[in-house]
Amino acid sequence: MSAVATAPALEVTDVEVVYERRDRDPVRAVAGVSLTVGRGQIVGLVGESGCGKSTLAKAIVGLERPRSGRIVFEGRELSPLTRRARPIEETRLQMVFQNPFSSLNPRRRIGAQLAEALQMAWSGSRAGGTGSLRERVTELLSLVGLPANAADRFAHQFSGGQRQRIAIARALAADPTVIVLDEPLSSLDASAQAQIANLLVRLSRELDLALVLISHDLAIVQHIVDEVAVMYLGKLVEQVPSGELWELPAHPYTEALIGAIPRADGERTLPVALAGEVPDPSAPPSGCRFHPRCPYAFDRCRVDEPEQIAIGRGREVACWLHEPGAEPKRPGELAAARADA
Amino acid sequence: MSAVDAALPPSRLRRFKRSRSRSAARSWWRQPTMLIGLTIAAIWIVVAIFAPLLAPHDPLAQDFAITQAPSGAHPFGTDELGRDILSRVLVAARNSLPLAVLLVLCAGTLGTTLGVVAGYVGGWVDGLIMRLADLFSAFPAIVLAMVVTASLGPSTRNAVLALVTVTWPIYARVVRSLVLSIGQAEYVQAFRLHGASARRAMWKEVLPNVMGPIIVLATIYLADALLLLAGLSFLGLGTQPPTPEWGSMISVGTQYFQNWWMATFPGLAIFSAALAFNFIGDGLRDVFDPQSQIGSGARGGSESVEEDA
Repeated sequence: MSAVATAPALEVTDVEVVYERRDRDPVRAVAGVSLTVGRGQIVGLVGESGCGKSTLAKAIVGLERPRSGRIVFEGRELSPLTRRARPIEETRLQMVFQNPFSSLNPRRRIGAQLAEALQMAWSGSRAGGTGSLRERVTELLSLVGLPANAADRFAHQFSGGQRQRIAIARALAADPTVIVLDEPLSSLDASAQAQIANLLVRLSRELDLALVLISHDLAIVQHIVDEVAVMYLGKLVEQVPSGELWELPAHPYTEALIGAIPRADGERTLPVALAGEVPDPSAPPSGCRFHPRCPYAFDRCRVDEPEQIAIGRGREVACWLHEPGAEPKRPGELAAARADA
Repeated sequence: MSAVDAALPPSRLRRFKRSRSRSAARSWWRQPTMLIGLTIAAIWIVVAIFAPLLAPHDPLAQDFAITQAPSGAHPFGTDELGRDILSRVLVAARNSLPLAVLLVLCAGTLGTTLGVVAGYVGGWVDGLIMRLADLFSAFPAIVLAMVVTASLGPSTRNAVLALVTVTWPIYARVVRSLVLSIGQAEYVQAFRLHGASARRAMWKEVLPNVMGPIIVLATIYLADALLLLAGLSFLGLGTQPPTPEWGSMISVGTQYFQNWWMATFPGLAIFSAALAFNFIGDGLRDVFDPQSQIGSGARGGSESVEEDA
């Protein structure tokens, strides 16, 4: 019992997703990722477009079959979705999709969609509360800040932010312990982003809900998450508790991402864009995947691929600059050293 | 309701409420083309039902006064056997229209079923069904139908049978692609993650979204079916004389082209009925579009509920 209680809610180990293509090289969209999400923890997964974030999200919930690796949810290994109904225990792992305009059925009333999700959870004898179905639907809607009469409407009658709330409400219908959110904020305007972000934090605290929040926008994520995992070209390059990240990013890529956040500090400093594009994932660069764009790359980076190494409490980085044998030289220090010379 | 009541200004609230109660029932047929289509179709349906009462003469009664021009006694004239063309056009509606509906129902059911099976099962079953569909649509429909009727023998039943075999691929293709694309939709994936089997997702989420487009398609192809049936009769492979049928009446009429009325009036009948079905199909497309204000039963298409978070 205690072993279960202390086990992480979600444990992803060396997951690799490969897309086979006819007549062309296969794409390793996710090239071996390990990630642990504790109960009630909010983990941000950050990276540029095309780095495999969404593929990883689908693999985690079982919509994509990984070539290798394990996904352990609540102590049991999760198998990818087949034609059969997913076992009821596994439905406590939920997902919210990127586009709120395609994640709701256009032809069914919101209430019917929520009620059906509730019924599926109930039929698995997991009582999601008391009261009639209709009351539970109302409860779910109020949980995400929508009026009860929203149940009688269709998806197209709502704005993007409202739809995203409904999508979250539907995920909540399964009484989840982990929700994977694939860019839940990117298609919303700034005020809706803030509302949904606050909603997510509140829900996570109230319901002891773990969230995997996928985003390409470090600026939004920083305010919400407990831990950040930075992904580049199918691999995690850095994992760090959120607070530490801002003090001193360990990986040059993380540094570049932070540098690219616009700042309103009155000093008119323009964000620094990282040069170049994300390379073709079917032909990743040799050695460290980031070396062609890395300002600190040296010979070894072009040949050997760095493994993740622990550089602090709960902090891991995959970069030769932090190799244990070598003198630790973080990008910030290195830049300072260059400025002195 | 109360939250909306509080949030909306009175003018918008009034419009919102009115639209919810009345405009849904009022507006979907209010588009002009839909109205025209429905009117013509209704007239033809009434004609088909009451043809024996409406027809001024026996459609089969022959007269030695052949190929008479339109007159008071015979408003549409008479044909090469002296039969009243008006009566024949009216009575032919009883044959042509139900046949067209039957054809669309059979081909639509067969095509939809095969399309769903192909899209759902996939693999070699999908391959087999779709290659069959390719095979049947590689030839012009009327040519293939001619081959089938020629081998089975010309009759009304065989004409319908032949046209079912050549028109089902239309529905199968559309349904298969809809099943595949909707099956990948995020709301279906979300439904699966809640513990629904693929079959349940198919019934509950995919098929309801497929039916709208299929009904629209079927209505538009009702016009096509009418023309194809008339075409086969025109070629002498469909309904056999002396039963009045629009296509075969035109066929005979073209042999007497100096008597313009013989082909013109059945032609107008086909034209008006086909046009009506096309109009209705177009109108239904809007009705079944959940985005359109007409379809959903509520006006506030882009309006969203105002709410305080």
